[in-house]
Amino acid sequence: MVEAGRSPNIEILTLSEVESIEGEPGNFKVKVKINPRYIDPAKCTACGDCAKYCPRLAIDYFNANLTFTRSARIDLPQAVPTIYYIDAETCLHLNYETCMLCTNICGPNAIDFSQKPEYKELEVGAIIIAPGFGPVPQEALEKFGYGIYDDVLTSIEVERMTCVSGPTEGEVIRPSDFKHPKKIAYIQCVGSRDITCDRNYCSSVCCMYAVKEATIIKEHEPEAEITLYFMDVRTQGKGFDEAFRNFVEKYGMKIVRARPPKVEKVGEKIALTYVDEDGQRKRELYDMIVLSVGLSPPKDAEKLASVFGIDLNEFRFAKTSTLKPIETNRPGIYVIGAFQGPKDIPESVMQASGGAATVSEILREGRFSSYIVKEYPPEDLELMSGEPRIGVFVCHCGVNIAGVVNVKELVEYAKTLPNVVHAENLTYACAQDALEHIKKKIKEVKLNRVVVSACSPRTHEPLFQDTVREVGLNLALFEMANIRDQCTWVHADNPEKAAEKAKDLIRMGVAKARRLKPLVLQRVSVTPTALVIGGGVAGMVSALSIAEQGFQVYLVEKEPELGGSLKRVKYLISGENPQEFLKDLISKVENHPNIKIYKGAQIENISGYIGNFTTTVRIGDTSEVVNHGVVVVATGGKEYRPSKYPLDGKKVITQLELEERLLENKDLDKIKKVVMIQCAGSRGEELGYCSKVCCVQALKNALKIKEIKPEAEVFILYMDLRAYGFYEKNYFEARKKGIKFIRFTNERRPQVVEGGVKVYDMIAGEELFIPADLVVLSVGIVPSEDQEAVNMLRIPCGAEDGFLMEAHVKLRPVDTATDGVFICGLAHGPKPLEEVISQAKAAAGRASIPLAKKEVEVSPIVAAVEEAKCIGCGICVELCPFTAIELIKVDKKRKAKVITAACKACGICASHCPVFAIDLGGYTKEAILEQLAGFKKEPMEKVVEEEKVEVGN
Amino acid sequence: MCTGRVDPLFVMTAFNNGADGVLVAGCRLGECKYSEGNLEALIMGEAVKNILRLIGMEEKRLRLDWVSSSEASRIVEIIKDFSYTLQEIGPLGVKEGWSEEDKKFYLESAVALCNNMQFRSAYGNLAREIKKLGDFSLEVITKKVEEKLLPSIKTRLYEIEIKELVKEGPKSLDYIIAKTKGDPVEIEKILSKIIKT
Repeated sequence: MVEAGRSPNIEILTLSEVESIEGEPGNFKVKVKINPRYIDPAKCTACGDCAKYCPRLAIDYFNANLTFTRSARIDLPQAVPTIYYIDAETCLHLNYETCMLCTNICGPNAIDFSQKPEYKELEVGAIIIAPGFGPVPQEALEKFGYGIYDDVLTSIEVERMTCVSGPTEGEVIRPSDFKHPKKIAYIQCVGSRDITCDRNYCSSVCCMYAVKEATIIKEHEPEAEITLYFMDVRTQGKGFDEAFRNFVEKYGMKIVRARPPKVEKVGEKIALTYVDEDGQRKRELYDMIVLSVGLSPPKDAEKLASVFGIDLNEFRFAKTSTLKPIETNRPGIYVIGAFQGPKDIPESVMQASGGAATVSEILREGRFSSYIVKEYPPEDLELMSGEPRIGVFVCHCGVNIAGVVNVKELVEYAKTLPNVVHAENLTYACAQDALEHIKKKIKEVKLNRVVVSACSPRTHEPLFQDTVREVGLNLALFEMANIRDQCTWVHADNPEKAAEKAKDLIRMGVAKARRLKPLVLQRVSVTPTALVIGGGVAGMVSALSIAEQGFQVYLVEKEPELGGSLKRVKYLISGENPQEFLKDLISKVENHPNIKIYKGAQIENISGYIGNFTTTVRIGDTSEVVNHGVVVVATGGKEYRPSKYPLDGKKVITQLELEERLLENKDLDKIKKVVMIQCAGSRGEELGYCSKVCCVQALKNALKIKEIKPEAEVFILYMDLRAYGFYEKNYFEARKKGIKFIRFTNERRPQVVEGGVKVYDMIAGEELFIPADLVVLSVGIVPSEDQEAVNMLRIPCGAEDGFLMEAHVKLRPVDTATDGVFICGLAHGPKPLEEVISQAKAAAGRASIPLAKKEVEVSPIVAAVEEAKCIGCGICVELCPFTAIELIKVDKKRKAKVITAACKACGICASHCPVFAIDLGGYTKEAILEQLAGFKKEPMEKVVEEEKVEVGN
Repeated sequence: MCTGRVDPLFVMTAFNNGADGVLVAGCRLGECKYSEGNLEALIMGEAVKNILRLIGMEEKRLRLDWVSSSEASRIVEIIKDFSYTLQEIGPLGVKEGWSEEDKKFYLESAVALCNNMQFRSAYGNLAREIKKLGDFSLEVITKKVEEKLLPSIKTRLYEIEIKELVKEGPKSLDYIIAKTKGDPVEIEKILSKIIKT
């Protein structure tokens, strides 16, 4: 959020609505209405005084209506833009023409009640819509007593409660008596999997979030007893099953498979009545009920559809297809996130990067045509050299600082510190005129270090760094002393001590500033080509997108042909034809002028780092060396063959084998009774995890059998039927068509015996024998065996499952810990085709960023080795989480060397070097020790050493 | 700055410069932006606590805690709680029963230890070993620090302390043992080694 907010190439229009769209891809005209904020963003310093003095209470929507906020407010401290707004619905002045307290209190005069709605016409080449999801309908909640009984809450409300900065500061309390509930029940599938409220789909995320939320409650309230009522446990995401098991075991949560139809109040408790799996009717009393609400389409889905000219599906989400998961029916308009269908964070992030890739394809010709790069004057080396000349600027922040401590006194104190040649106070240091003043003073007094003692570097450091750069100072020569958030705000009741602490903070800031060194702003050039490893769908979609974005791609496939696992998938549950898609994709890839394909090829060697990789590709007896800037690893996966089942390819086969038979109409007359066994070998049998696709695959094939031979009898034996998202409708259809579902548990798995399958039926309480002429196993997916490239790139793999590990499970699903290396497809984890396509596009989107920029900016804060001191022990090399340090030979001696382009500045190397030979720019040992020395109350000595600065930008 | 950057030297220097307590606060474990920074800090914390124990300092003066950036009220709670703890313990040296001279002696020795190459090598190698194990649980860290690092901490620290004690002329073995609070056999061994060189 912060990064997007800071980019000069992203204009964020908040409080805005799209009114109309005209035109076509490459040339859309979008009319936007911008509603007034009533606070001038150019003047607001986010000090919060308006909210503090605003007398009007307003319901706090951000906190799920559980508390009050004020009309003048910011919803959350991390909001972007970090600017307050006035809520027109509740403001006293806007509704009754009274009050205006905020106008009087606002120091920078930012309140502006004269603002009117503005209309803007934007000219854009492509449009991505991401309106998210909407609330579940009231009637879905009322069914479970919400709004009738106080102690029935939604999971969103509980989520806000468990947040330590939320309305109850992390306390979970029940609304009726504000006591901590001891017995809590979660009811799943509220507003999901429910045809009575038009929600015949699964929201995909609630099973996992419910357990996560329950875990947080247990952390706060170890005594609480929590029961979760599931229909199926749908934790099909990567690593979710394991996390689910761990949480349930660790916290002793009770899992009940039932959907309680009845919620009623009994005394101070809430009673749930349900029928359990054994067919027993039960009743339990709880202190609090939490409804796990699903993800609904946005409230105004129809309006969005008509404004954007796109179709909705039967559930009022944006209509897309399996093979084009982010394309709407209107060319040039794409949809990502929950509006495309309920999904978790990683899938949303994948679609976001995938959307960016798609847009980058169609707009490649106009790339950078309106790109803004901020230019700075060259650094003033003469000014930066010589002894430290520090300027200290103490901010009043209106009354935020000056109301507690005497700012003038702080200025006088700062003047007494060694190396300080200038000190003064400013009403709002971050206001435009104050920034100009700081620049003027730097020039006038020849300041080569600037210390601003004001608010938090979190919000304001980039602004001040930018300011000093504008007059030729290196950004690292700036330091902040946080005397507001960490001093006057927390010690307002003790001004004397606050003043003392503010002096300490300023002294420490000045001490550190004396040892600040300029940092080099480096750029590494990028070879604008990509290596894609793996010629399956993931690799090909990725390669094609990168090529379409205008870059050369080397695609390496070990088999003699392209296609990968999809070759074996004959039809899709959506009715689309995967083989036609594959044929078309292969032909596009093979005929693309930007793609060079190596078939029957192996990766012999890969070395290098982002922007500059070198790879040797071996094709039979010959080998070729290619240079490339990025790598996409899409080495795929394959069907797992469980050893515990008598797979014979005849009477006991896998779903993929069945698919082949169904398509070729082979032995169909023999199929009269079919039993499908889910999780064969998976989820705790031989493999520990869920392969995500097999439930839908079984439904697909079962429905196909019914289509070909309606009289055939089909059984699906399952643990949890994971027909998540819109696949729920297929599950529904399957049941309607008479496919029989029998649940089993991990402890009592079905057994394939002569002539059929034995399975324990929980309702009957006995073992059943189901005669079958065909047993179909839904087997899992394992990563492909070819791991040479993965090993050479040192991509970490999951210890249990062997799938490639992403840099961050939720937020960086296609990146790896190594910059410039991306992953997608089955190699990353089992997933259905549409997710493979989205992820492949995402990898292409991420990989193309450095290719398009032609250079990567190396963060100026990186580690550096002082070669003469280095003893070559290699501790730093092994501890570096980013493989950013290598050992090289210098005069026959081993020396560590930092690959600055790969360094992320964690500093682990520096804190573990036996001889302090490696140090972290911006956080040098010298500067930190100096800052710590500043903690002493004793006077410091002046730093006089002449220092010649030689770096520049 | 990542907690992974925090050097044992920084913590000991803060104490030596007058801090009664040091709080190292980072992202929640498992949520490190640099993937392993705060895990490395766990080892750092355990290593420093061992040093504190050896010089007879109240361990609670060092606290490690993990908070996400959106948990403002949690950090407030932590800081309040830590302040109360420190108020209870009192200024550095009082509970420890140190004279001003003792305080200088122990803290400067500890700072010197953190600057010592042999100690730092052992510390770095321990971090390397735990990373290889891939298990950053507190049990493993505590065990490994005790097994692999504590002997090195003891030897180097006593060496530094003894050298400082005998700087101004010979001292009795009893005096040295009392000051270093070390095991007599161990101290004698180190002392005779120092005398030899």
